[in-house]
Amino acid sequence: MTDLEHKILASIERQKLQPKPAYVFFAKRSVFWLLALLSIILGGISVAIFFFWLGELMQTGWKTFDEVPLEEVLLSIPVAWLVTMPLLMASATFGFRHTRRGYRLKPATTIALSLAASLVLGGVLQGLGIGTQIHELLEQHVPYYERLTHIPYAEWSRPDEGFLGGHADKLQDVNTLLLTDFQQKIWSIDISDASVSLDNAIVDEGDITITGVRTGPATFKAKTIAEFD
Amino acid sequence: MNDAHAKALSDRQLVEASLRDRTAYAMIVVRYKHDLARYVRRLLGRQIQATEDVLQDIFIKAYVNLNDYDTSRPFSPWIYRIAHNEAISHLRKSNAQPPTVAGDDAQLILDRIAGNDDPSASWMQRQTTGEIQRALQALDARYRDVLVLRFLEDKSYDDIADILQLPSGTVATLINRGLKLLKLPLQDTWESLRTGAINDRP
Repeated sequence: MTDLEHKILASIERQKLQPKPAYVFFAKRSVFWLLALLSIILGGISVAIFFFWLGELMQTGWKTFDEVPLEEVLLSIPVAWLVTMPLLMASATFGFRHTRRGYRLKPATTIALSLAASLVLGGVLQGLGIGTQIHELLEQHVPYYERLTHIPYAEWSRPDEGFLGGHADKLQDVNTLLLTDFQQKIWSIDISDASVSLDNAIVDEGDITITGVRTGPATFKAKTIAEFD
Repeated sequence: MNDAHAKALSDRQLVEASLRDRTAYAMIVVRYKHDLARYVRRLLGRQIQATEDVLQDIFIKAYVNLNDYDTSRPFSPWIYRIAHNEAISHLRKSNAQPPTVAGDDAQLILDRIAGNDDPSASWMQRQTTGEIQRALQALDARYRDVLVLRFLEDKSYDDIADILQLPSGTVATLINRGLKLLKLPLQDTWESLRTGAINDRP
């Protein structure tokens, strides 16, 4: 045995060194796998909820996916989700990179793979109705989420009860407004006695809410008009 | 375990034997000490006197982490990775200057690049060792690291990817870009020499 081997073995003996048990490395790698997996699962849940919203938007106005205006969809995604997804992708990439051979994948590939996995998982979750359940759960128990995400389409789609909402299309005459509701039905609204609380002219406001009385199959008499938010 | 028997064992078998009996680890040290010493010297540059200490740290760290070695993969890149990290960590701790490239190594790189199918090979061969040495010195560490591993340590792209923990594609890109960057300052020297030679003509 030459000097170097001798020194190394002596040093190992002197310091009473032992190889760390295999489970230590297994546990360390598992943490990174779990981090990656958790990020994909959370990403999948986010995507499922996004699909749920998309479905909601389509049900409350646009009949097909092509008809859903991109701007409307983007506006309906709360900033919280836009921040969350890159964070989840970043943590999935970090997790993968620290697995045994994860460094072999380019970061862009890892991001694309985890995004694809999140999309597929999100689709499956929403297909099983889990996205809707999670959305309802969050809405009930997380007030901040509720404030951020709640769009009261259903509340303003009850003309028989006196609540009507939709897009202010044009004034037919000084007392009559044409409105397209969230189900794309066109209404003629009598606004002659209405109290209007809007910052802009009615037809410049876009979506509005009206309280009042239904007077016919497609006619409504307005008491108040306010912005829809 | 006698020497002849130990020599016949594969790296993986030696690792398994070392986990049972630490004296078997001496055989791993014997097998890798020369290669790693040479690599560490290349990384340490002016800090060459620290080679033995760093080498000891490498082998001790490798021993403590033996169970982290993936037996389905070659052992050499795994221990080279430890060597690379330990040498870089030593340089950082000692606030050392970037390593210098020895004249012999510069010549070796030159010969090996020239031995490749690179069309610029013959042009590269006309450069002096000193010029190559200076050009290598000026390179960013990430390019120098891959060039040293490829052309001095004779490692495959896959092994380099494992040692530096990079995607294989990135290794190929760094090597190509490193070679181009290596040629840039040489090109200037070559041009100025050529122009000078023309101007000096009677």
